[in-house]
Amino acid sequence: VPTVEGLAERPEFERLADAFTRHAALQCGFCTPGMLLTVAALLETGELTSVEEVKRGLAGNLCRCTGYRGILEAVCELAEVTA
Amino acid sequence: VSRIEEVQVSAGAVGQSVPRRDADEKLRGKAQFAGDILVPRMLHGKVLRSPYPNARITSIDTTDAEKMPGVVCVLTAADLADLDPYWGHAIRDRPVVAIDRVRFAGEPVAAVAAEDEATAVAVASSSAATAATGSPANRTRSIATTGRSRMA
Repeated sequence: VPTVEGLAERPEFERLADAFTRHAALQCGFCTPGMLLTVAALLETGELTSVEEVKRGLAGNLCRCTGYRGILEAVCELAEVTA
Repeated sequence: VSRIEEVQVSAGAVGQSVPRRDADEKLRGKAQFAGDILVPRMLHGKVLRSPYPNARITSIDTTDAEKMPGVVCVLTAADLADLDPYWGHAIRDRPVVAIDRVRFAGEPVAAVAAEDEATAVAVASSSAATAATGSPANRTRSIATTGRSRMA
């Protein structure tokens, strides 16, 4: 089972970590592993082609502290779609 | 103008976007949360909660639970006799554990402390302990009868 610890060892992780840090896409950190694994998988399949797809892709991951805005911005940047 | 500039310089982070200091450890799954922390000889607590939204507590028998290996104590309302058991964010109207009756599903009825988590879970989820919450009350007039003021 892939975990965030495993994901963090892969070279492509640094791009994700950088985007999440710059966009303040985490606060307490509780949802962060799930967000990162979801985003990594969706970036790999290439289905994040619009903001709506990004929102749909993240919809199952609940965050109760950042308000999603930073996460959305970080993921849109990673997927190269306009937030 | 010079005074404002001076403040900005001395405040450092003010007016700038600063990365979280704990971002990296949280992003890499290395952050320690409360549930990750283990200290020598720590006990594990679990709470037995009411399955009923409104019920009388007719009896709670903790003797079998207390006899289980690894169990340190089982606490119920009977243990609150010599202290003020009420708390609440706006109004102190919630007992630490239910006293005589439960007023919502999920209200704490008893708490167990054990030397390991598995034992604490076993006690808190045992059917014998659950049965002690008794049958649902027929009428839902219990809250008003306490005479405690509530927020509108």
